[in-house]
Amino acid sequence: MSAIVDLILGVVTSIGGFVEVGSISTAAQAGSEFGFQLLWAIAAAGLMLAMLVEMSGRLAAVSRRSLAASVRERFGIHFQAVPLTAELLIDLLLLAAEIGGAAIAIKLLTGIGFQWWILPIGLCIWLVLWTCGFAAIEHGIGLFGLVTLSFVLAAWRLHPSPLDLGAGFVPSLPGHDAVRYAFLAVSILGATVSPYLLNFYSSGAVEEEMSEKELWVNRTTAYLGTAFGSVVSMGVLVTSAMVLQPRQIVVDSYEQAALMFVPAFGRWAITLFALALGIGCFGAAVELTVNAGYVAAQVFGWSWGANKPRRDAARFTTAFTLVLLMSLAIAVIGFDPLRLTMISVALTVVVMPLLVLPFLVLMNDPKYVKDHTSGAIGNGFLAVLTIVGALLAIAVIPLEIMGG
Amino acid sequence: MRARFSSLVSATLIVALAGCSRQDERLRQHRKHFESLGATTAAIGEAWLAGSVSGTYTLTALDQTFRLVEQEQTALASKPNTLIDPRGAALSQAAEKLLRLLARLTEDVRSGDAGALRGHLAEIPIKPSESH
Amino acid sequence: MDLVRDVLDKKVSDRNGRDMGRADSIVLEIREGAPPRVAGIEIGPAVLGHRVRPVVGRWIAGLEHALGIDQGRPLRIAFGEILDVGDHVKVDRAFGETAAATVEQGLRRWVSSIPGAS
Repeated sequence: MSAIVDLILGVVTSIGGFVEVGSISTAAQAGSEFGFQLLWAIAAAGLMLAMLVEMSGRLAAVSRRSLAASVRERFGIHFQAVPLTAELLIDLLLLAAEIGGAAIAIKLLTGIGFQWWILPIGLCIWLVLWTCGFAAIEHGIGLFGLVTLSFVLAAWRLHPSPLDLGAGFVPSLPGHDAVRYAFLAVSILGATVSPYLLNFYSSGAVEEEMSEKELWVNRTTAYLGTAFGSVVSMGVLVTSAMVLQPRQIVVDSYEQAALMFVPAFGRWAITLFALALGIGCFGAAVELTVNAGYVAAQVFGWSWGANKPRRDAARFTTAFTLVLLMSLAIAVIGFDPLRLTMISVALTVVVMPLLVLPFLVLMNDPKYVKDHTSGAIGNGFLAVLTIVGALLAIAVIPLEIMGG
Repeated sequence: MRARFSSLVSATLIVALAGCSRQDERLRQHRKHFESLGATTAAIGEAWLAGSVSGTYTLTALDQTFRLVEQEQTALASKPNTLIDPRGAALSQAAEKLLRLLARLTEDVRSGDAGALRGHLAEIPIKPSESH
Repeated sequence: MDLVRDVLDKKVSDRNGRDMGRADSIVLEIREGAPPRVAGIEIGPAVLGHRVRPVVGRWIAGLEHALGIDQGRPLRIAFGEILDVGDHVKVDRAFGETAAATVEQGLRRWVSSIPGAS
């Protein structure tokens, strides 16, 4: 019974916690510029994320180690120094973007400039981490995040043609702006397969003491949760495509993106959009912050855990506090959160091969996963993702310059 | 000698054509963004008139649109060749008009004058063409 | 025992099971006319940084000195004090009595000053 409850909570949490500033930005832009044509990119990215999340959870449940700890032990600091530094940089930028996104959500409702909300939001993030254990953080974010289902509801209320939707799942060449199309496809991948998600999920599995007996819960949560979560992302794209594309409104700001809710929700449009954006971004910001503490503590071998009293893991607590402060400094300068988001998703794609490569070794090392090693499909997927990731890593910077 | 001269002329033509094509693409992108911002202005105004959005959001969104038009105008002016081009000059003028219009629309919302706003919406200088 | 596979970069815990850090470095004793002997392990960001790049290690050591926390660091644990090498490296020390605890204990003071720390 407890496993069923865990499963349901896990799936619900995945749905509610899926959509954040990166997925909203990229899906809204994709829908406004290319209609349904990039639905396949969200589906593909979702499948990749599901497989990587399942592997992270399996690694944690069997080895009782998080992803960051496993990489340090198996590959040593020489290898880890590069992806670790890159991940911390990306997380700093993305955290600043999430805080900025949450601040803009409040600006949409109050009219007060988003920079004024940066520090109060930062304080709220810190207070949540100060007072809540892992389960409360994860499930709280997930449950409140269910407001993002409003994207799915909006899409449903606009009655998109099932045939047109179906066609969007088949990769096709765009009729215009091929470079921009390619850039958005790659950005959707970068926004969906965020590095922090993998370590956060594996750290959570360690904190919650997931065991080998619960691998089926891990697998089901990873696939079902990501599948449903991807539907929310698709809801953003479809709503944007149905409302903004016919008017040829290209999403360059969240204020423009909010207009996508007007036909479906009328007077409630801006409130719902602001809630979905704000809660989605806030939840992601909390996860990013605590994950920074996880990564630092796990790599350096400090005591860590959201379930531990904060004084018993002082370096872990200090690490996430410092990262939060640095991100607040970036956010308060006033960089456009949408631009910060697009830069961080591009950087994610650049480092993706380094993040995926360790899985190829770890998931086949019996010392870590015992007899739960990856089969041909898992290994084939990782090999393909590493190669494709390497090619995209080379292509993404020119694409960002030309099509970003 | 003649062959070398022909090669030089061909090379010059290719470079010039490439430059023109780059200029065309730049102008096309700027037009696309200005049209988008014109359409955004219309959408915001119509939503306010329909009572679908609050005055607070409308003012916020108009202000943000104003900033985006300014940014796009600055980007357009950053390459002097684009302003010399008649299409670029026309875009720059349309952007200037759109900025003034956004300022008027903001006043209309502040004073709650739906009639004036409706009239001003009809004056949006740059919007996507119907045939796009 | 494979030093790199089983010891280096592994989590180190004290005799009471408390996390001490990771085996950031292995110390070898070079003996005249005899094969090198494993003298022990070291724990500390300076030696870890040195493995990445010597200049990084020097920079971190300088920072520790500037902050006045360099006494007894990096923490060196003799090979004879290693109790077990399994899932992690267990050593015959108490974390709180070692220099590895300097920063943790120092930070605990400010963390504890905030209500709700425990």
